Amino acid sequence: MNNKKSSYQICIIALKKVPSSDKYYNLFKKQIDEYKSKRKSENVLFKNNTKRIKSNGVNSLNSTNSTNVIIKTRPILPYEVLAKVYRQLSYKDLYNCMITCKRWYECIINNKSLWRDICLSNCRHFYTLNTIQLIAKRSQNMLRTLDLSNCPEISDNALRPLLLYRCNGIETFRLSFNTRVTYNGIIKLLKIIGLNLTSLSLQKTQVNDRVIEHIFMNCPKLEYLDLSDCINISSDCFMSVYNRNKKIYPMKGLRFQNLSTIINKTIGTCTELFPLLEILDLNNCGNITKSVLLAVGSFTELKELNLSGTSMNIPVHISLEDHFLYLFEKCQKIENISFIRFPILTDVCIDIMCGFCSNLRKINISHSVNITDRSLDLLSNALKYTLSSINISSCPQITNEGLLFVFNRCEKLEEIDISNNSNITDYLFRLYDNPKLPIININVSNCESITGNGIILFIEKVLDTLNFIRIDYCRISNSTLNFIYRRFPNIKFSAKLEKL
Amino acid sequence: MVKLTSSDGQEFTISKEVAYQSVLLKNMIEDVLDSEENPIPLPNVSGPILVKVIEYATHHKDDPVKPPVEGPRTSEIVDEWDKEFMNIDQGSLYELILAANYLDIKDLLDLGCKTVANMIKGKKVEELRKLFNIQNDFTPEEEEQIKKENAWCEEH
Repeated sequence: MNNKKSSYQICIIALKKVPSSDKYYNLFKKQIDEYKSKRKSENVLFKNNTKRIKSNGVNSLNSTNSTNVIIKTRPILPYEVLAKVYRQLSYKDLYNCMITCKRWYECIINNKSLWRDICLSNCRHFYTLNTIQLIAKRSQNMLRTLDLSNCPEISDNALRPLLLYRCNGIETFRLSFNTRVTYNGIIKLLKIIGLNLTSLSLQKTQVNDRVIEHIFMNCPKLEYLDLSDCINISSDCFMSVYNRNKKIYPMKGLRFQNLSTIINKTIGTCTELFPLLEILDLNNCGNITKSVLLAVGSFTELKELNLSGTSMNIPVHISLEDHFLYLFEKCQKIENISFIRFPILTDVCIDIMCGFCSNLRKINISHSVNITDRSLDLLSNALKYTLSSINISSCPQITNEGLLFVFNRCEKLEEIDISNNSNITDYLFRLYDNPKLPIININVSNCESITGNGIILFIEKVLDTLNFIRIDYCRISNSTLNFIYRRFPNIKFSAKLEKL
Repeated sequence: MVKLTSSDGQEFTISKEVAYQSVLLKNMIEDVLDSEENPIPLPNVSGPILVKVIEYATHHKDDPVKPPVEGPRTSEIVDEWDKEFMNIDQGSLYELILAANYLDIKDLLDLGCKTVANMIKGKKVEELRKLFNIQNDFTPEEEEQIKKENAWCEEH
């Protein structure tokens, strides 16, 4: 038996369990005494050591277990402790640590979990394309997020290390705005990394119908897919997925911005495949018409809907109000809705929407020429405790009266955009009386009737919460502006004075 | 009560409640029944550091058990007492971290690591080497290579 601490403990335990009459009892006792005396002498030795070290003015606590104390100038943190330290740091700080010394470098690059979430989007300097190789090698199956959006030089070859090191733990992958990676490259990649993927952003890439088929073949956990600006996909892009096996996929979010190929029928197929959809973004899908609202009604879990820039005036013989009635009766969970440039949007539509959707938090109805103060009255009444963001810029019929409803009633309103409305004046800021209004962000640009006095009055009322205010091209003189800046140093401003 | 002996032979008596903050001590006490009689030797912890450890464990003995959080990278120390407690020279800080690691006191170890992380944050390479008394053991070529390979880190 050696003189290690563990054996000492074993002896003590043994002593408890063995009766004193046992023949081993004395043996154990002897061992313990021996250990104790040994420890004493060790302690004396150590004391001398520390004394010597302290007299040199240097601390040391290393390897005190052994009698051969190696005196180092400073204690060194073990790898596992260093790893804990590094986990708290940003990549920028890790970069500096890596260059500090070899030990730190080794500790950082050999710790897979430090390289879990990598964002290379907008990366300016690419050290050839080995960067992905280095990351894949460091993180391997620990890689969870890889953002390669806005890196146009990345090619099929650059992505190969992800296959070689089998980075199949990736949950979020972004390749948006890359036209170099071929559709075959994406298919090959998905076969390896698709297994755990939940979020995939492929905006403006070479994705075509075949890729879509492979996405749903290889990514069983996929919940979020962005196909915006993928001009190679057809209106039947989901047909092969649908025909292959008529099963349901757990998708929660789909984005198709700026795609003229997406038509009502495409969304119809989606209703069969993805009944659990929560986000549907059809922003600027010019060939989507009013009839799509009937299909959208099948997504009863929908929380976010963007129909801005779609052709809701077609077909003319159906009223938008009727379709809204159908849609919102089914999709009552909607929280975030966007109808920018909806000339046919009326106060009745808003009434229907507010009547059904009591969870609405964000509304964007800018550029709606037919919306009047009546809508704001209805909105602020129905969504008094939920509404947190509203955009009613460029709605020419809106006046102070309507906005007073919003300002006075809404208790959760943090963000409001009332820019480009010439009817709005200082009167609004002077008259509203709601000390609880929690505005953080406000945009009143291009409201020609608003002056510096109104702005000062308003900022003083919401000083506790306000962070950013946009007052470009309001009726404010240079000197008033300087006065405002000095008076409210903690608030961020955007204040352009003259139009270019 | 539990008796502890530091590496320099000082003896400390603390309550079991305080000792149980350390997983190592907890296991020892449960295994060794007469810890009240025989002091537990802690050959890796010096007296002054053990005083700090006991101070920490006593202050936090009534803390509720925190659920482990897999949060974002943050090293902000919220507790004012903890902040003041960690206001010590770097040698002691290292020793305290090593002691927390050895005694297996997770919260103290986390606090120590956060403190070191905060010392690193925002510092340039030369500043780091000076602060932590580290010799640059890279050749200029090696250093250049690492800089090149990891240039992307600088932006994020």
